[in-house]
Amino acid sequence: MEFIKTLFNFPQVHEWLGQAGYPAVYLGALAGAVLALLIAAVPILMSVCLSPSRPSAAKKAAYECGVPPVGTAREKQMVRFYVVAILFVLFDVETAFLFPWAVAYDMLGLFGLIEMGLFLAILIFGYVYAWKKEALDWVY
Amino acid sequence: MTGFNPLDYVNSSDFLSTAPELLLVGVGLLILMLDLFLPAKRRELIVQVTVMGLLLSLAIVWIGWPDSQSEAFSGMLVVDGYSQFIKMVVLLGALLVVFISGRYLRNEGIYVAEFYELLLFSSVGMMVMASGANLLTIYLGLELMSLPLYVLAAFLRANRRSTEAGLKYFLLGGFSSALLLYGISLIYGLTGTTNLMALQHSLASLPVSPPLLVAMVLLVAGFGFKVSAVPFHLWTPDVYMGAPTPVVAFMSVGTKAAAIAAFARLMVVSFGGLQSSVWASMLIVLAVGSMVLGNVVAVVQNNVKRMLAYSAIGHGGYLLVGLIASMKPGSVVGLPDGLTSLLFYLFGYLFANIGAFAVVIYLGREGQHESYEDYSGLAQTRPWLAAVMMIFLLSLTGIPPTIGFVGKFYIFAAAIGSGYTVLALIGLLTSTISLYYYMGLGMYMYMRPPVERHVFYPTRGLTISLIVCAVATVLFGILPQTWVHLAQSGVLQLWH
Repeated sequence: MEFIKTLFNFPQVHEWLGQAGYPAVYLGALAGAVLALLIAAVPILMSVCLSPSRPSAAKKAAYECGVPPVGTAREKQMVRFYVVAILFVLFDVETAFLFPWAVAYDMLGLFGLIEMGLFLAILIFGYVYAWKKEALDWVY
Repeated sequence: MTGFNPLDYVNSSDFLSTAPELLLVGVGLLILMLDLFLPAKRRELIVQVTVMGLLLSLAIVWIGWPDSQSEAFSGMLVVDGYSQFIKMVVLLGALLVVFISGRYLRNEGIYVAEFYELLLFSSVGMMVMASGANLLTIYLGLELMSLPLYVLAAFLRANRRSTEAGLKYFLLGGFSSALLLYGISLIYGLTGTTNLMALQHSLASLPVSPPLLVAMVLLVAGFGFKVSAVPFHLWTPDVYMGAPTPVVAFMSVGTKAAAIAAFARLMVVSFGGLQSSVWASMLIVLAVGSMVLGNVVAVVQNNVKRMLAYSAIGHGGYLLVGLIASMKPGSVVGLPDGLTSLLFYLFGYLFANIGAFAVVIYLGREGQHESYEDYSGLAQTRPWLAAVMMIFLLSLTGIPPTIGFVGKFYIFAAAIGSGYTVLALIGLLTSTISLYYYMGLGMYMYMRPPVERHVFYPTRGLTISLIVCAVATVLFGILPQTWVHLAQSGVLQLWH
């Protein structure tokens, strides 16, 4: 971090940021953005400049875990997958919300318990709805 | 962290002041369960529960009308006369839409429970936007309002135009939300806060710099999309034409009311203190563009829903004039007249516009009998229907003694009062243009022979809502004082 600080510690940069209306605390963010760009760009540029280029049919083929590919990847998919995917996302988010509550459970107390109960109740309404509308049945 | 007590941040009055919203969420979940567990014969109960829920919510808003501004949930939401007025408009709109949609839903084979449930959730989103006192709550309300509307727009699954409308609205709406969110993040980066009141203090001391300008442009683009202001209007005609008519009726009033309410609160409360009037020039471009383009393009339409879509763009322009008139450069406290006229205009637009869409539903099924020719000779076959449609058209044009006239009068008066005379003149000129196409439809109804057609779809709900809209349009056009005072007292609470 000390390296980045010195790298961007020019008075001109500060002045430019100030004129643009940004407080100087965003210097770190700017440094991070430039660094991220470099980390992504430098290896790509290096491989373009340094590596020899000798394409062949085998090299151009799609990589399928070492097995020769069978047909195209653009096949028809079963449309029912999307319902499963949507339901998965919904109930996945539920878990993501449960974890932080479980970690701070003792501090949130009864209030937190009731709030989480309400949250889960609303989700259970959705679950019952999906169930009764047969969204969970794979075969009709 | 051991001394942390969540009850320091939330108390019972928070739940009391958001009771209208919470009630609607409960009703929405209830009707979903009713749909699952009631036998098919008793599904009528769903409509009754929806109407009861909306009425009760309206009653809570009305009884608990505040005398001053109060905060809820640590300043994330505020409850004042301004927010309650918008909530009243949204709830009345939702109520009228439930009344006009009954037969329509049966004719088009739409799932009833899901339709009403999404309608309720969308209304909750609009109410949250009206009360939002923090950029994040406003964004949350915007998403809660929009997501159900995307689904509702595509509700006619077998209809190509409806699915196209839904997809178009979803993609462009998602894009505009992203722009809005980017603007919010830039504002937060510049000031370190998302609270509107705190923003006022930080922005007043901040010079107008390029990042601030970019943030404001992004915010204006995000809200401009929802108000369908030119140049962010391109989705409007296609979505209005393709989406189910009751949804369009709801969207045209509710979305506009909620979006302009949140936008005006942000502009007046937070950006009011800015030293430069750069926002005013930005909004003037939007307002003039919307008024001119909306009204001029509406002239050449031959489809009533599409004509109403372009006229909705024009009305968005008039609302923006009200917003512009409410801001005084370099002053933290704006001029209350602009926002008062804006609120009253929305109140009038509610009845006239939903009434006009109710007539469209009365006359034909989705995608049929929507051209001007289909209204030929309506005055002979259905004189009362033609008469109420005429009232709505007169009100949309702004001709006395309808509520639309009073609304436009207040808006232009406020614009002249704050020194935007040219803006008021453009508004007057475009209103004259709008007379041509509104009265063009009137001419078809009254001066052409009847066409061979006309299967009407009357229901009790449609009749009730047509009567309510027509009576309100005329009555409050003659006696607007009550509502103007209510709007004015609400607007004056904004700065306290």
